[in-house]
Amino acid sequence: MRISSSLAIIAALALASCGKTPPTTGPSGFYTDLHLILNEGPFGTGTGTITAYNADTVIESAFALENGFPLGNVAQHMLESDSLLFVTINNSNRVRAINRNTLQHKWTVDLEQPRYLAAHGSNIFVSNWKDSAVYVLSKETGAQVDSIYVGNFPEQMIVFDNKLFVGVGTYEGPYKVAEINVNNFEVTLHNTGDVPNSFAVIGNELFVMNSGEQNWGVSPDTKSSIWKFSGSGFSEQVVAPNVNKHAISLVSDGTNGYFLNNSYDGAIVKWAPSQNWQTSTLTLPGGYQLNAHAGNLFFLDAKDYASNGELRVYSTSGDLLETIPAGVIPRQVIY
Amino acid sequence: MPEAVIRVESTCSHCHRREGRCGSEEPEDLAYEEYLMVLWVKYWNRMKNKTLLFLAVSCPVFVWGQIDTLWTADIIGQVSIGSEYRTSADSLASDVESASDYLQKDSRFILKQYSPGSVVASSFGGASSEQSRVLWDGIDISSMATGVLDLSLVPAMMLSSTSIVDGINGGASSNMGSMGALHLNLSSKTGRGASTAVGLTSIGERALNAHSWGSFSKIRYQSIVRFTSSDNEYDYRLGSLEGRLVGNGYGDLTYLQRFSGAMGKTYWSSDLWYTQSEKNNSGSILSPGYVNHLEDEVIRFKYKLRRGRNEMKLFASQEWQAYTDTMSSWTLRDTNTFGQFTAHYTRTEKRYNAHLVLNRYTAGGTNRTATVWMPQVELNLKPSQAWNAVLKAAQYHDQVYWSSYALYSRSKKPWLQQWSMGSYYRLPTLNEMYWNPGGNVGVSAERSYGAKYSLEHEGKWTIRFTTDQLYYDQMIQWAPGSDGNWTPQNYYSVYTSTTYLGVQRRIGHQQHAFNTTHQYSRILDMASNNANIIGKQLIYRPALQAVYTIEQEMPIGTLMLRGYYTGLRHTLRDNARAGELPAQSWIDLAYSLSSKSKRWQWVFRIENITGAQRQFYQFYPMPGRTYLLNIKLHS
Repeated sequence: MRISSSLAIIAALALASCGKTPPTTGPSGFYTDLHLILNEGPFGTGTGTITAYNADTVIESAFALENGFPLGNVAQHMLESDSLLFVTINNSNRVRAINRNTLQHKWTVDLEQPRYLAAHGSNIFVSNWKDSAVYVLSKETGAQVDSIYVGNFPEQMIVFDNKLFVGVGTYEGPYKVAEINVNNFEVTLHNTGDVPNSFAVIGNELFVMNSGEQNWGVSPDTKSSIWKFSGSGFSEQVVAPNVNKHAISLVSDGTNGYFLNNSYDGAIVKWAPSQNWQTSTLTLPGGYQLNAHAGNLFFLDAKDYASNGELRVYSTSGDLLETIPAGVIPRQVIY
Repeated sequence: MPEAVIRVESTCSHCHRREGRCGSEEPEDLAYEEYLMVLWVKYWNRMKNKTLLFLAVSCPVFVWGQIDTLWTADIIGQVSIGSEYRTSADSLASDVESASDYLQKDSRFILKQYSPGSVVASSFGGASSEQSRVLWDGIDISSMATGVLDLSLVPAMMLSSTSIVDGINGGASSNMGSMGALHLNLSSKTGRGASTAVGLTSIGERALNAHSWGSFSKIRYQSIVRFTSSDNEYDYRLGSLEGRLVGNGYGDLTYLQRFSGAMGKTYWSSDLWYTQSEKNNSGSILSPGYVNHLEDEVIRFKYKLRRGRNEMKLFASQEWQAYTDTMSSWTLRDTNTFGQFTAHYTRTEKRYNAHLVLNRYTAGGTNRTATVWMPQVELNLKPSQAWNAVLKAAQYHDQVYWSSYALYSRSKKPWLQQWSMGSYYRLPTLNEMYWNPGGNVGVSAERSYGAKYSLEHEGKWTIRFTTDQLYYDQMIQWAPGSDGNWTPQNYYSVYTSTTYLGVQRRIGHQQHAFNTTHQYSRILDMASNNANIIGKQLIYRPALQAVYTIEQEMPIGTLMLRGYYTGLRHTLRDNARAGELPAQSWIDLAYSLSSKSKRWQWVFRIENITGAQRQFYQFYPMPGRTYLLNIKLHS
């Protein structure tokens, strides 16, 4: 597998160096049909990377390869919208826009402690720890359109029913979900469980996974829970039976929800909105993040967090379909 | 007459060189006559010729010094150590620089540092920082809270030319290390005098070292005040990245005070060592603009009594740390304290030395509160001139740890050969056991088993070759545990092989000194889900390090050219290319000038004259060409 991957990389590089000049703009390019894995990179030292892959190609550090400079320290989140990739780079205090098809750099703006991204219309939204705000940037130029104060350390976001929902209160309360009108940026705060972590749309309804507090013995932990948005607010659906594990990464195949049953070392759990909290797992533990796409589950294993991780693709019944080598601390896939 | 004995009896405690090489000094210990006489009688018949010659051409106080060496670290007097060559520029550098800066001329020293003057993690000869120990007058002062001691806060003047005891011999000389030890001590001074050394660099460093010594009422004293600070700002170039590194300034203060004297037949000495430092770290060049601020204050006190065959050392230290981290959205403020009390009794007999040690370690502050007692017993056996053995036991955290070591020496002038083997343990630190979150009181001590061969040649060519083979089991590493929390775990089994070659030769007016260290390490087994790590090299260990020094005596002054090479290092456990630090080499050039009476000396030095790109951590570039001026006045 390693040899074939290496050959594939060499072949890809050879192709790239044999006169094929990917367009800097336009509908397609060398990376158009490649999937992209965002790797955080080593914390504090080193750089985040993007691994590009398809069935017979794996290109490590594709961004640096195309642009000649590193992505930045701790790549946090990546979003594809309108043939552009947007990447937040947490420790480097940057948001970058990249051509999705060529991985050519388009623009970079400095923004302190950016976290997650969402897009709507001609804007992208960037949650931000520094000011506990959501910044609104122009997709095309990165220019700041507005900033929306939402409170305590906003994290993951989702656009649902033409509204932007933001998890607020990453590691300390009050824990809220901010509902933002994407036209006038008015904010409504809703109650939710402790530590809103991730959103998923299951059966056309919005759910939020709350991980529960992890207090390291200083005070009691609290339980994970899943809450549902009803139009006027969120209500608790299920609660984990104990505080031993803190569930993260709620995703959906449209019908069912899937999540990792523990932070840093989770196994995939399948859950349907009509069910109680599920404890049986589809896979072994080891997951750092979970993504879902086209009926498959993308399980990102960061291994020991000090060497390259891997992406494992599972069916929704837990069958391992594919394993792809990734970079250091892989956390997200773009398809 | 066995060569091993000659080596012991004729080695100077000040410079640790063999007889006749040291322009030595009188001892501070004039009350130690009784013990000296025992040794004289014991060895008189065997070495009278050598001793008479020694007395005639040198000074008797060497022997006092040697006794001190025997007392402080028994096995050290026996093992092959090798002596560094100190150039004229080095001599002045040792008055101004920190130990970590100074030791870069030794290929056995592995340095990890973000920028000049920043916190140092170091090891000697292929080990991890926790496996290499730092000892002060035989007392292990490596922090049991973190496992390491920041050598950027240790004045280089506490190093002797034989401070590094490499490989498993170093492990045998310390209470819990396995690979390499650094022995610190303040060399004695005769008469009275004072010196002032000043250092300036083009990246904004200012250093001052004031040293005075003398006596009053039959009490000897030494006082040293050392102060360094630096803006630490410099231009960098790293591949396609260019810029100016700022925000890594630091300042530190060291005060050392020694009093010593005699009460009847009892020798006593007291040492006070105080350091205070403040260091900023602005992060890597990929994440500039943060300020991580570390304040550190340590006070160490040692009191030693020696009478006849008995010696008692009492050591106490307390360290305070305050750390402010603005890299995340929270301003993290951690405070840590670490305390150590050690009582060390030694009894010296003809065939053995026995040590009883009681240690008490405390750690407090934001993330843990813990106290651990560690009684130790150590027996140094000398069944014959050729054989030495060390048996050690320690009780730590309700468990008893045993280790043993044996050394066989064979000498035929000018050659010396030694074979040694031993078993070792590296005990988990208080942080590893009690850090909240993640501390693991169940983590086991690292065990290791090693063998070493040493070959030395003394003559026109001074050659030293050593090779160490070590097998480590249950190496400790922080990683996510089964409950998802990061916690220290017994992670690896590892094999390491470290080979050192040092050659010195004088050719006309030139002195050549070359040393190189080759390290091979492979992870043999591991307790995690990442099989890709098996067969890989340990991180941050260059396969090859080398230093070549040429010193040329000029009609006026002395010129030194020194080249450094550090091979490729991996920073990722699976040795992935994305984490490689490329091999780097750089050259220093220094010109030194002094008065005939040594009343003054100055050194002008250009470090990294070619502006080579260097880094010890990824995206933390070290300076390019840097200019230094050191001046010393002596009275």
